[in-house]
Amino acid sequence: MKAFEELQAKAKASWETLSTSGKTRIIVGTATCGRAAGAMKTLGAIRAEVSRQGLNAQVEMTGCIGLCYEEPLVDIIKPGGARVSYKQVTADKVPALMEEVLAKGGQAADMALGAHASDGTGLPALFDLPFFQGQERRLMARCGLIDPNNIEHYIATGGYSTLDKVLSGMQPDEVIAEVKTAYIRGRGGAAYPTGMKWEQCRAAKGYPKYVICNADEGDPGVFADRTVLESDPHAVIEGMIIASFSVGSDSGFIYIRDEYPLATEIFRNAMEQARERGVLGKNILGSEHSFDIQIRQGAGSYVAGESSAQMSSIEGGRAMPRLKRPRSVEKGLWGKPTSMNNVETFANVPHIVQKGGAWYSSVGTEKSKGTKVFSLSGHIVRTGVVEVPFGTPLSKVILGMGGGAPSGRVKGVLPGGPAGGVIPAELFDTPIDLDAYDKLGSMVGSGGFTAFDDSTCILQLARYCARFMRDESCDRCSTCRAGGQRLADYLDCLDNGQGTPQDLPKLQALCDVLKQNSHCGLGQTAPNAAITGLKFFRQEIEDHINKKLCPARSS
Amino acid sequence: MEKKELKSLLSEFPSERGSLIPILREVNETHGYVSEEAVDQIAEYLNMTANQVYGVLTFYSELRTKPAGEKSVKFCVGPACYLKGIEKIEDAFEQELGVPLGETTPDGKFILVPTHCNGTCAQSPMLYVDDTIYGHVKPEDAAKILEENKP
Repeated sequence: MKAFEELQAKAKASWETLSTSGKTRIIVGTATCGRAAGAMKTLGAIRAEVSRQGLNAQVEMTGCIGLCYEEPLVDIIKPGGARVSYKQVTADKVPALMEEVLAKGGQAADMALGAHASDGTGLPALFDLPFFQGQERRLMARCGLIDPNNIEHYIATGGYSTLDKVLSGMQPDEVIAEVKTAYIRGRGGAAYPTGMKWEQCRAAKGYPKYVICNADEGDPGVFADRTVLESDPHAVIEGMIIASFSVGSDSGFIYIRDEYPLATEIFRNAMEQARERGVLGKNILGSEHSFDIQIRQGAGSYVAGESSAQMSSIEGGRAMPRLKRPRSVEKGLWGKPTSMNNVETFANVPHIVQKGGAWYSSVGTEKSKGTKVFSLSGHIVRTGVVEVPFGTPLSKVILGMGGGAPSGRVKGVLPGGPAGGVIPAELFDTPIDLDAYDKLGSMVGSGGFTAFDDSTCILQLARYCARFMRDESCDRCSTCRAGGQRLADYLDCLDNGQGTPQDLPKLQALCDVLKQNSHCGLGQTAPNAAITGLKFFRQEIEDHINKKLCPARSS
Repeated sequence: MEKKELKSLLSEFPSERGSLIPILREVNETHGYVSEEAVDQIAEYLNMTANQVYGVLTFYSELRTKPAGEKSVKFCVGPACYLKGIEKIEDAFEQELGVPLGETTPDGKFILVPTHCNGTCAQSPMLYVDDTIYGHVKPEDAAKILEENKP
């Protein structure tokens, strides 16, 4: 298609100018994680230093490469040289770094994290760091390397070429077939096969049909989607447009949580740039297909991450889940056929359609295909974001990439925030797999691991999770509303040393009731931490009852 | 609140139910909270009852029905911050100001509120004062942070 070829040629030309201009490029990671560590002050200091010293340099911004623990991160590319990442460059360190690297032509090896390519500088290779060992960076390939506020960076690195391929002659059924072959399952937590969802939505009768991107990433401690949105927003837009073509939709929404103002700003800007270039809107890239997206921001609700609750919120209601018949693909937003997918699911779509479903499903386990982005937080040395193939043992992620706990031993992890239950260190050999984790009573969830060390009391952790879920209950069904409170009370009582041996079967029964009888996923997962706590840390809980002793706090 | 002012704000949104949350967010942000008069006007504009608007307004934790303090101290409720001792930090602020979490000081200067995780867990335990992030906070930092942000 001619329209796209022109766009691509222009983008590639300006991309190449970056390396041929003879200027040194200084690139600051300014995603939310970088900003929290002071990246905007660093950026200001660099700009001031460049103009003060009259340096032949251009200052740029990028998203997050995943190395949140080393923020603020500054990359320097000298003309003809390799990209070098510098760690923890707070504003006060800027003059020294600029002096050493730009004025004196040195390496500042003490501040360097690594070079992106071997250039004989003697600096370690960035991607040889333990943090990157075992990662397979598909969705993260551009993260931290391109400017998310510049669509040309995306196009020059292959972006929107899949959309062009789709609109230049593929049929919706062919696209859906490719997604089905890939067997990608929804990344938001429910793990429903995406291809099937699209097929059902395509078959459903009704107009208009809606495509919704769920960017509510409500699970606390999880920031995989935020990283993708802030670092490579066009990948999500491209995935959404391909989805809209496949299901036959011309209208889309992205629901971004209130806590992600920067992601919202970056996404809004990305949409504007896409519209200006005819990539989004009417007759996309000169084709017959039209599709546009509206942003909706949340207002502080965890349960708004649930699909039907989110649709209610977009309609202007309380974010309360409804029963799942009829399903959203038949009657979703305003009663119309709706296909809702998660940020990461959409970002995978261009890869799948470009390289084929078979390529995609060549990594992973039998029923969990492809890669998954995970955020690492809590008692862990290297907090950040990694992307690994399904089937990777958890130990490799937590102990290898994450570096284990700063003090002592990792006792376990919470996967997917307070709803995901706990996985003890003894089971870290378990490969990351959607179904295997369900069998443990846990779940892969939306994609985060929060590690906790031996100083953490399992009862207090379970109580924290129960209280969080209680506070976030929509309060519609009494099982969740009253049961959630009761669960928190039970755990409180056990933690205070007031428990009796008879309490454990009662606690188990309460958990079973919540799991079986709650209206939606919130109530059903609310007892996960308590259930897995009882299953994997029973001795510790019994010690609270029988010995009136907390092993975690007394050790 | 000036009725006229709200009227011009409302006119920027389509008069349909789907505008409700965007409108509430906007009023909350520009006026600091959503007053009873605002609820009535929004209801009229969207052809809803005040009860329906109020039901939505009180569902979402970031929307307020009472004026906030001049400055909001917001504590992250995420698990990384919990594991790194945010509760002790909350205690320190509560003691320093003499009000519990969720309340505004009698002089109207500060409000202490829990807030959802924004995923900057590398800085945990963290809190915000309005939009400024404080990372790796210790309980003994409470007095200093409040002094720095005195309205």
